Formats: sequence, C-alpha cells, structure tokens
Amino acid sequence: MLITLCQFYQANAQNGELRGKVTESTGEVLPGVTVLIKGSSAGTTTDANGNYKLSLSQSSGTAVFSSMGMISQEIAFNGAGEINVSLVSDSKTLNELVVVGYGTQKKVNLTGSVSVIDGERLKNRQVASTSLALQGAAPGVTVTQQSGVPGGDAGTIRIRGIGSINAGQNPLVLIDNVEMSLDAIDPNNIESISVLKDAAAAAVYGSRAANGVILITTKRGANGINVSYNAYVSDQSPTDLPNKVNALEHMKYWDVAQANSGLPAAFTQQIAAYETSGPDNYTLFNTDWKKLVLTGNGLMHNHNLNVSGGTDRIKIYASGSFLDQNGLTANTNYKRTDLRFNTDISLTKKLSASMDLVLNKSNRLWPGQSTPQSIIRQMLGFPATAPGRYDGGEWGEGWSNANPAAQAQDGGFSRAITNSRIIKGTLIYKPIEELELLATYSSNFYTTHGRNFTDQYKIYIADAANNTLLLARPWPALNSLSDNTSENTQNLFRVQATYSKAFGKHNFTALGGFTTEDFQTSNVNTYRQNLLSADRPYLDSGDPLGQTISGGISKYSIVSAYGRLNYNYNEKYLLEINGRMDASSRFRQENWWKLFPSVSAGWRLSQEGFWSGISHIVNDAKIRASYGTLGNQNLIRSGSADYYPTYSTFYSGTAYNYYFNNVVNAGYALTTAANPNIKWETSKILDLGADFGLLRNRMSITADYFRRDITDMLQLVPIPTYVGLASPFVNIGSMRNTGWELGIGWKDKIKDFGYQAQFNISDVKNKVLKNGGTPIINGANIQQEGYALDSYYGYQADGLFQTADEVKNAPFHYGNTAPGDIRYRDISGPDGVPDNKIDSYDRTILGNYFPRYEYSFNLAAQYKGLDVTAFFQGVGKKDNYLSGTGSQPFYSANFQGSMYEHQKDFWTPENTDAAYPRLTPSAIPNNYVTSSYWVRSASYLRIKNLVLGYTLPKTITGKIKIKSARIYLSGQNLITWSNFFPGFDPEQRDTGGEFYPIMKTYTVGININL
Amino acid sequence: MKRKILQIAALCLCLNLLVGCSEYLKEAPLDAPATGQFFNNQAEMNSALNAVYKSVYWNTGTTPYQSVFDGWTDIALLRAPDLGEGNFDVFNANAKNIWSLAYTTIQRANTMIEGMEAGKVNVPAAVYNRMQAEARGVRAFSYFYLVNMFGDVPLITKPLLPSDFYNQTRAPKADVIKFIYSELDAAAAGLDWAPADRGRMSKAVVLGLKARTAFYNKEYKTAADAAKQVIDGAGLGLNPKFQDLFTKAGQTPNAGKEIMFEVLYTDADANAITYLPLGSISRAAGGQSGRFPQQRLVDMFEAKDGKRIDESAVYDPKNPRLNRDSRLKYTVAIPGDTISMNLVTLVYDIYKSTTSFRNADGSWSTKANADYDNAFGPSKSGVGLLHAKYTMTAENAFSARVNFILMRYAEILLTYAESKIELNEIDASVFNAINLVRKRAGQPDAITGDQTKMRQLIRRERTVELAMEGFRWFDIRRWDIASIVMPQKVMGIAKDPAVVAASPGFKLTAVHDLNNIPTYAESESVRMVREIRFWYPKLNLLPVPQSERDINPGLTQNPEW
Repeated sequence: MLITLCQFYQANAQNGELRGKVTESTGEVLPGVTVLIKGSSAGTTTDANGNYKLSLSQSSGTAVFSSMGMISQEIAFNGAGEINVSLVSDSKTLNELVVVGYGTQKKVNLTGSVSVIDGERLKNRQVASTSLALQGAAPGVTVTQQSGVPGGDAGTIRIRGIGSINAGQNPLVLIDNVEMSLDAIDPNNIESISVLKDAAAAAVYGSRAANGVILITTKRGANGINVSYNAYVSDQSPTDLPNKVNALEHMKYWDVAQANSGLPAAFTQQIAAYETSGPDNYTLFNTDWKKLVLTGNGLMHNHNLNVSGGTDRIKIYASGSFLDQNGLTANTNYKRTDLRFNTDISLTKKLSASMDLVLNKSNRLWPGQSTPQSIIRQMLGFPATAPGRYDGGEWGEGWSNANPAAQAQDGGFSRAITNSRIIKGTLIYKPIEELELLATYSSNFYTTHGRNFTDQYKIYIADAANNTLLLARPWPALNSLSDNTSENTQNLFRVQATYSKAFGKHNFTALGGFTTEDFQTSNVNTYRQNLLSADRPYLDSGDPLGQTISGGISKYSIVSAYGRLNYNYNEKYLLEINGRMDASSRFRQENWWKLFPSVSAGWRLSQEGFWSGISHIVNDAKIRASYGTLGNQNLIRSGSADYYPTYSTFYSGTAYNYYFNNVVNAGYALTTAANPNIKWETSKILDLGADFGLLRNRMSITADYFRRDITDMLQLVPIPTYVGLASPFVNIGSMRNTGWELGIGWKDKIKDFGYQAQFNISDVKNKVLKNGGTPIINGANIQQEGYALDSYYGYQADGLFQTADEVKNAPFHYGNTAPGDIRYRDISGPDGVPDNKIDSYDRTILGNYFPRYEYSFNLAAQYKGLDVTAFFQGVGKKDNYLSGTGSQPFYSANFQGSMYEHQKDFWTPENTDAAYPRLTPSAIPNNYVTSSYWVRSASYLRIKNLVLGYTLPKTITGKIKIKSARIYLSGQNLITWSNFFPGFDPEQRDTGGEFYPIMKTYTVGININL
Repeated sequence: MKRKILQIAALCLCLNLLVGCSEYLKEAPLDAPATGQFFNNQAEMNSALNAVYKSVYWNTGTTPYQSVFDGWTDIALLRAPDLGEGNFDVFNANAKNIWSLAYTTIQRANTMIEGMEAGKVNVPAAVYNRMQAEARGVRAFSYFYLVNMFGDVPLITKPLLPSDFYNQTRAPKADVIKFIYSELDAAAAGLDWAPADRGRMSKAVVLGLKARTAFYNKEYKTAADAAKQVIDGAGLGLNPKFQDLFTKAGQTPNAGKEIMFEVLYTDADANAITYLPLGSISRAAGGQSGRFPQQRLVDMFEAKDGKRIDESAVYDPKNPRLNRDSRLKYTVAIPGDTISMNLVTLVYDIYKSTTSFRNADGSWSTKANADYDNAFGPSKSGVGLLHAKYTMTAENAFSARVNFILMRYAEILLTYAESKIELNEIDASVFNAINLVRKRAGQPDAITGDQTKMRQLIRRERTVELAMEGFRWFDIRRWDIASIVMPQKVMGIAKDPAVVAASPGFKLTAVHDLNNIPTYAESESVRMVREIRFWYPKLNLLPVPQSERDINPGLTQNPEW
C-alpha cells in the first residue's frame, strides 16, 4: 500500500523534488522516517539507507521529519534541493513516568516489576465490569470470568498465580490510592493502570499487597477546556449454551435408562400419545425452555460525559457515567452511575491541595424468586416434557412448581442498591524544592440496600376431562419480602514525607510515611411474609407472624509505617530498599506487628560505554532483580471476610432457635473453632527481569522470571467433623508459584499509517510445598505436597466396560456395575498394592485448573481516520472438570434433569465406542464419581475483542465545531477455539453444568471531543 | 518557620497515633459473645440449651433424617437410588451427614455442659441440674444413633482442644454404650417424669432411650427394666386415635401424653417448617412424592381378625383394603383410598388419567390425575403406593409444621413386650403392653403362644405400628434378617387393576414365617416391580466417612468397607 502511495505522490510531481538522508544523532542511518510537507498531503518515508525523495507540489514550505522515539524536526525549504537531517532520540520516552506505590518513578529507573496499561486501551473493551477489560492486558495478570450475569459478571483477577489459600487471593485495587471495587469505575475515567507484581514494587502497601496491587489513576484536570462524550450500545448473547433433547427423545432415552437399571419403562403410554397426536402444549408438552426464558434483549449501553478544565491555580476534572445492562432473562438488569470530581488547587507556590469526590451508585435487579443463574440452570436442565406456558399465556407447573420462565417474569424482584460516597482530601506542602510533605485522608462510605420480594405466579394444570385449564395454586404458597441494609465505612489516613536530592551523579529519594486504616460494617436484616398486596412490596404490608429480624456489626483496623529509599548513580546503577511495619487488629496483640522488607536493584547496561557498539539497535537495556517479603492477614471464610479469627463466638439466629411452647426461643451455639495464636502469612517474592528498547525504541521487550513462596499460610485446614465445629485458622504449610512473563511490543508510524503489535505470554506453576502432613481432600480437589493447589483428585478411568465378563473379572467397585459403565484402574489398596477393589485407595491426581501458558496478542493499526484493533487471548494448558448436570443425563442437584444433545452418544451394546457411559435414570456413583473421565483440557484461544473505528476528518468536524469525533464497531468474545465439552465455555471452571453463560457482544459506539 | 511548625505538627500527629494504636487496633467481636463471655446466667444457659435441642433436628432439605431410614429397608423406597440399591461406598453422603449431625449435637452439649459451670452460682440449683440433665440426655441420644449405625465411634465428652482434634480414635461400641447408660441414669436423676416444657427431655424420655439402647444391643433385661420404669412411673398412655399422632391438629393436645420426644416447629417463624409431608404427598394433590412404601409393608398388616393375611379368612386379595388392621389406611394409601393431603381431598388412583376431587362445597369433580403419569409419582417412580403417615396433616404442605415424633409411648410398650419375650418371661404384663397397642388399632387381643409365636407377633406388631418412624433399619439387623429381606426385587401392587395379584406366601422358610417376610413367586409377573436390591454383610454398619478418615487416618474403618 505504501508503495502505491509513493507512486501516487510521484505522479503529482510538478516542482522538482526534495531529497536527502536522515541519520540519528549517533550517525546511524534512520530508515522509515516520515517526511511530510506541512499543510499539504505530500509525504514519504526514508528507505533502508535513510534516503528519501519527495516530489514537491509547492515551491517553498516546511518539511517535517518524524519517527517513533525521535524528536520531530521541522525544516523550512525554498525550492527543490537536498536536506540532510539528524534526529535526536526522544528523551520523553526515557522520561516517561510510571505510577508506583505512593508516587511516580521514571520508567527507566524502575527496579521492581510493574506493568502499565494505558487507559486508552481499556476504552476499546466494551464490558460492564472493568475487571474484564484487563483480560490479557498485561503478562502475569490472569482474569477469568465465571458468569455473565448483570451485576455479577466481574472477572476474578489473579496476579502471578494464587498467593494464598484462605487469606484472600484478590490483588489490592486502589483507585487514586483509595480501596474500592475496580468494577465500580467507568473505564473512561481511567488515565492509567499500574500493576505492581513483585514484592519490591508493592512493598509500600505491605500487608495488603501479597497478591499484587492494581493502581488506577483517574484523569485530572488540565489547563484549558476539554469536553468529551463517549457512548456505546451493545447487544449481548451467550458465547455458548448446550442444547437439550426434545420431549419425545427425553422420554425414550429415559426409558432406555430405566431398562438399564432393571426398572419398568415409565413413558410407554406417553410416547405412544406423542407419536400419534404429537405435543399439543396442553397435556403433551414439548417445551422450549430457552425460548420461554431468554428475552433476546441483552442490550447494554454506556454513556460518559466528562469535562476537564483549569487554570494555573485550579484544575477540575468532572465526569458522569451511566451504564445500563440487560441480562438474558426478564427482570435482570444492572445500572451504574459514576460521578467523579477531581479538583487540584495550587494555594501557594509551596502548598497545593486536591479534593476528590466520587458518587457511585449501582442498582442491580434480579428476579425475586430465583437468581438469574438458577433460572438459566433450570432452563438448561428441565426436560421438554414439563409444562412451561400454555397457549393462552397461563403458566405450567414446570418441575415441582418451579417454572424458570414464570420465576423470571412474575416471581417478583430482588434489588441490590449500593450507594457509595468516596471523599478524599490531600494537602501537599513543598517547603523546599527537595522535600514534599503530604497528608491525605479518604473515606469510602457505602450502603447497600437489598430488597427481595418473592411474588407468586399462578400455576395452571390441564383438566383434560373437562377440556379446560384449572388454577392449581399460586406459587410459592406465600409471598414474602426481605429488606436488608448494610452500612460500611472505610477510613484511610496517611502522612508522608519525600526527600529527593542529587549529589553529583548520586541521586537519592527517601520516602517515609504512616497510615491508619479502619473498616466497619453493620447490617440489619428483616423478613416478613404473606403481604397483603403485591403492589405494596414493603414491610408494613407483611404479616408479623413468622417475621424475622437480625443485625450485627464488625470492625477491623490496620496501622502501618513504611519507608523507601531510592538511589541511583547516574541513572545507571539503581537500588531501592523498602520496608513496611504492619499491625492488624485481626491478630492478638502479641502478633500485631511485623516488618516486611524488600530490596531491588537494576543495572542499565545501555548506559555503559561498552554498549555503544550496539546501542543503535538496542537503545535501552536494563536488568533488574528484586527480593522481598509481604504480609497477608485478609482472612476469608466461606467467601466472606473473617474479622475476628482469634475468637470463637456463639452465634444466634434461626439455625439455633427452638420452639418450646410454640414461640421462638433464641438459641446460641458455637460454630467455629478459633486459634488465638495465628500470625501474619508471609509471601517471599523473587523477581529477575530485563527490559529492552530496540530499533529506536519502536520495539520493547520485557521479560521476568519470578518465584513466589508463601509461608506460614493462614489456612482453614479441615478438622474432623467429630469436633462439631468449623476449622480454625492455622499458620501451616507453604506454597510456591514459579513462572515467567514475556511481553514483546512493536509500535511504529509510517506517515499516516500507524501500527502496533503486542504479544504477551506468561506461565505460572503452582505447587504446594508443605501441607502439615496429611493431604487435604475437598470433594473433587486435593491439596497435596508436590502438586498444584486444589488439583483434581479421583479415579483413573480406563474406558468403558464392554461385556458382563469384563465387569465380573474387574476389581469390585459397586454391586450394580454393568457393561457401559466406566472402568477404573486398581492403582493401590490399604497395603499400598492393588487389592482387586476400586475404593478410596485408588484415587490419584488428575490435573489442575491453573492456566498455563496464557498468551495474548493485540494488533492495532491506524490509517488516517481509520483504526482497527484485533485482540486474541488464549490459554495453552488448563484442565477443567465437569460434573453434575454437565456430565450426568437426567440429573441435577435441585431438580429433575434432562439430557443434552451431545450426550446422545452414550454406550449401548450397539454403540460400543461411545463418548459417554450407558444411561441410568439417576446418578449411579460408579460413572459420576470424580474421575479422569470428566476432566478435560480446557485450553482455548478466543477473539476477545475486535474494533473497527473511524474518526471523522477535521473538515467535517471543523464545520460542526467539534474537536474530534470517532465512531466504532466492536465485538467481544467473538470466536472461541477449544476442545472442552460441547456447549460449555472453557473459561468457566467446574460449573457442574449449571451456570450463567459468558457474553458475546456486538457494539457500536462514539467518542466525541467538543 | 513555617516548615518547622509543620514538622512539629506532623511529629505530634504520629506520636498521637502511635499512642492511640493499642486502642485503635484492639478489636473483639461486638455483636456476639465469645468463648469465656458466655454462660453467666440462666438466660444464657437456656439459649445454649435451645441450640442443643435444635441440633436434634437432623435434616437434609428440611426433612427429619429418621423419616428416611425406612426407605433403606424392605418396607419402603426412595425415588433416588440410595443405600438399598448397591450404590454404597465410603463416600456415601448419608453416612457423612449422620456422622456430622450427631457430632454437632455432641459438640453443643459438651460446650454447654462444661461451660455452664462458670455461671453455676448464678442459677438456682434445681434449674441448673435440670438443664444439665437435659443436655446430657440429648448428647446420649446422639451417641445412641452413632453407636448403632457406625459401631465403634470416637467418644467425645468434653469440648475438644485443638491439640486433640486429630488424635481421636474409635472407642469400642461397648464403652460407648456404657457411657450412654451412665449418662441416662444421671440425667434421669435430674429430671421429672414430665418435661419442663413440651419437647424437652424428661425422665420418661431418658429412661425410654435407655430401654431403646439396651434393646438394640440385645441387652433385653436392661431394656425391659428401663421400659418398665417408664410404664410404671411416667403416667403415660396412648393417644386414643392412632392417626392423630401424625397430624398437626391431632398432635397439639397430645391426648394421653403418648408423644414423649419430638422435633418441634412453630408458625411464629416462617422458616420453622418441615418438608416431611411434601416429599411423600400425592402428585395429584400438588405434592412432590419421592418416598414410597413397598407392598411388603402393606402385606404385613394383619387382617381384621388378628391374623396374618395368609392365614386370615376375612382377607380378600381382590380388595386388599377391606377388613384390615385400621392402621393400614393411616400408614399406606392404596389406589381407591380417599386421601386428604396438602388441603386437597381426592380418590387416590394410579390406573386412570383422571380421578375424583372433592370441591369446597362437598361435591365431587373429575379432574386430571398426576399420580397416573407424573414421572416422579407413585406409578412411575414408586410401586403404586403412597405414604399416608405424616402426609394427611391437614396443612399446606409447603409450610407444614407437623412435629416429627422421635419417641412415643407405644414404642416403649412394644420394646418392653419384645424384651420380655426374648427373655422368655411372657407374663400378663407382656400381654397388657401388646394389647394396649392392638386395642387402639382395633385389633383383637393377642392370643397366648410360645416364645416363637410371640416373637412372630411382636415383630409384626412393631413393624406396622412404627413404620416410617425410623426403626426398621435397626430391627432387620437386630433380627438378623437383612440378608434375606434386602436382596429382593422391590414389589408393588397389581400392574393392571383387572388382573388380581395373588396373596404372597410367608412360609418359604421358618425364618420367613417367624419374621413375616412375604414372598411373591406367584404374583411377581402381574405386579409393579422395581430393581433388585443388594446386600453385603458390611451393610450391617455404615462406613466411617472417608472424608473423616482422609483427615484423621487414625480412624479405623468398619469390616469390609
């Protein structure tokens, strides 16, 4: 294309030509330099020897020489001739600042492992939860999505593997140094994201940083006025859903299953009736549950209007965002408004202040009787023979009165409204050039109001005898309302001093600070049933009889002192020492305090004299190493924070109340054991890394090797149930994550054509080093020394039994094993050798779900107004386990299941090389115990994101007096390649076949700058 | 100057904060008492005791566990294959659930019994002793089930310290039984014959439990003595109507005080409900039948003349409902019966797609019959029969609050009688006990016979009186007949109402005859039949849960598991 362009310009030559050679200040020739005539469309690029030729259409003007990583030069000319130019490398690249813990640092001087994600890049990803936009964005950052439900579709973020078992695995997310949910912020407000991955980088966050830190900097005001409006509309649909057999097939296969278990056929008459008269949706059903449940209106739209303005004294950034996301089912919606005011004021030359205010509100609507997940689950699981909806619109009874379509449409509502108010004030005083004193206070106050109204829908049954429909019952028997509020406050106070000074070529920066942090949550939960009217879903219309009420409060606090010393000699030898002392209220006083030190060093080889020979190719080269420790105290028990892990408390509530004399007698019981002696969990992180800038810094390479050892792990090690209590936390065992990361980027611009490519790949291997002796087996998973955490654990399948003789001669497992059942390997026995029995001794490690070789490539190009981005993301190796409805026909944990299309390939004497075992009407454990049969590779590659944008030419935007306008089309999760079970998204782990799918979206959007 | 002021200010701030640190960091639970802060007074002890009682309600999905036990035997079945059907291994969820439910109760009782000593001085001695005796009684109740289902079990009598979590071993069954006896004797000393509130442990209950424990352990002398103490001292009697024991309205008066110990529910709490009826109720009545009786149970009910159906002159195989022990229709619903379940009255049928429903005004209409074709109803998943016990409760089944009886006086009488029969001390008191139970059912008095004849009678009487109350699983093991009654096909009613199924035989062997075990060689082909079941000697005991042994390898396993 470029050649064509050049020819095009040559064809227009009228006034002779401009020619010359472009070199770098070092004398090296510079190919690919763009040469443009200012104010015209004429232009060219230099060839491999740095030479250029440009036909002139004007007699005089200015030639502009520009290249990535170089400072552009403008040279006036008068007539044709030769202009030789020497370009100086752009020190801006060298001076690029990166946000690090409590400050910024020159990128080239970094000694820790930090990944930076540009805010602009996130804007390309139209996702409701910002966490999803980080998928594949930086090496070593793993984001997995388990559900696509509005208000619950956030991704789980893991940085460099799993950093803890029970002390939290989520990274610390700080938005302008205030802890809040990443998903609450509109990506439009994000200026940049820094991911701090090693101990040195994260050290100043000490106790909170063991799982890495994600620092988000929001946009702030700048001089002048800029107004921009960004909006998009998306259509969402599931990436994948399994298909179910129809009613007739369901019954036929069911009877095959019955016969296989020696049971009488259940559907003989019905099958005959279906075959003669067909389903009539009156007494014979062939309900298409997907059609009934899915609304087909997965619309999502997002709007952001922001204003940035300022003078030298005062700068303001104000932004308002609104997101509205529909789900797949009725009454499923998520709305979020995000208002942000960032204000910076220079009070005097030495004193400045900033005040940020964030008002964030989310409003999640789900159906009242059942969650969207459960509705989708029922939709996927229910047999087509169950009555769904009659032709007149009356609801059928589904299965045991549960009708997922009725639940979604007429089952009431479950609202969760979260109002969050974050206020942050900062005062910065610079008494002298070298010293900065800072004090900042922030408070995040948020309330959640959950109102769940379970409404009744009317179930009709066919009365064939009278050819009518009868109202069978409203369901459920009583309507009910729960009304719950919680109030949460998180206060953060920090004072800090920074002193920077250069003595000749010795540069020092010292930083010291002190923080306090406290959090308090309290709640009131109420419940009433039998409301007089569904039109007044408020407590007052409910019945006091049977009402319940409960409430409580919890607190924690952390105090820390931290310090950092940076030293570099001539920006060549770099050294950083960090330390943080932490105290947590979660521990008893004797274990409050602990020091977490770290050290890191770097060497910029490219600054050395010996480098000069290759410095024109490798412009920048740095090697770095860091080692340090971080602490963790963020205890999690059954998914919720545990604030008082050292106390065993007596709990009250319905589970403990008893009913002497027909009244509620309050009961109190101990439920968990406590361990007063627990102390900090420690992560020791080693990082070795190198950063290179090549070919005029158009190419960048970052490589890291890391080892993360977690010791004194705070774990809920299972205790025997004969104790009668849940496990206490103990400091036991250790775990290691080792891995490497490689990021290779290329960006260049040739005249109007800019293009960028980024390839990331990373690997992390998790291994439990010490476990305190006994392996911990938890269902299908095991925690065993020498293996990855939560490895899959079960029997080793060895195909299917083909004959009764094979069953008879095989090691005994169950009495009812028959041909078509899974055969297992007799690996061991009580004496350590095979004992001709399949039992607990034959279980073995079957794999694990850790994503290995995660990779992504991002390709982007811009030409004039057009821009295109393609983003691929994949996982090279990963195991995934399917159980429950996913593996067992006719099974579900909560209702009568049916069968998926792909499960038709089951064993029969005629279909002996079947993919699945013989059918049985209900789960026979032989086939559905955890085994390698149901563990499959879930490696995948998917087109995560594809964007095509067009920026209107200035000629048009100028006319309507706007600075710029861009429209774009984009798609998310467009195509997935995987060998996992059909119908199941490989990204969703251990679903048991019951899940809310991940979304595929198509978007159209605009960005306007006024 | 300015700088100096700021520095001083900052320094003061830091110091202030550091001094305040210890206050700032000191946190302890705010909304719940922690260990060491409880059991100060009677109210606190009482609330701990409430939680001890609550844990006696063993449930999975709001159905009392004991009501499911019979589904693992020859007289009933569960829709989903369970312990009866060869699906049995060391990972079995039932074994795991029962084990952990029992030990939850034991933990709560242990915590209470030890903890309450701290507040002893603040509580009147009589009240203190009663509360302690109740907790000990409930703890013994848990050990009773553990020892009978698992054999040797860890005997934990105090709150465990973390250092002892992993080193418990299984105490011999005999030691556990000895402990149960001594605990129950001690509890009896601290309790009155009548409970302090309905639903609490009383002297009658703890002695009844002692009788039951000894009885299951074949210590018939101890069993007879304990039962006799209850019979003589407690002043209990039988409810005039058998069927009233299993309905909410009938239970409330507890006429004759037959109900001794039960799981309580209340309408004062929306969550205090039971799905026991719902899970067995007719699909046509809007229930979710998933537990069904077997024909074997039906055939064990005597005919009206007091004779087993194979020996009766009044039994009619064409109309098995007629001329039967009156308890049959309150225990099993047979097609043709009029049943009232879930506030719906209908004629139970499985043979036709419609049946008769009673309207509000008393008239009858013909409407669709889900029991005929529902895949999970009695015709497709059961063998044509429905449970009538605990299902005709005159309540909305989705908010039923019928109490589940854990011990009643009829059981004490039958335990007494059987113990005396086993001791071959068949005196008038034995007949009195049996005949009290039979008389209420409208059955003629027992006829004098030798020990064998009396055994046959009492085993039949026990089965039909206590069906679906959680006894059969233990009885077929105690009588050593599980290996005979379990590996059989599940048998049902006639497939075709027009083809009469012949009466079963009971005399295949002397053991069959003695234990009233019906055999269906002649009628199998015309009956509704389900899968053949399995029996292995190891099934005499449940396996120690593998998950427990994975955690504490020091726990041994039962034979052959």
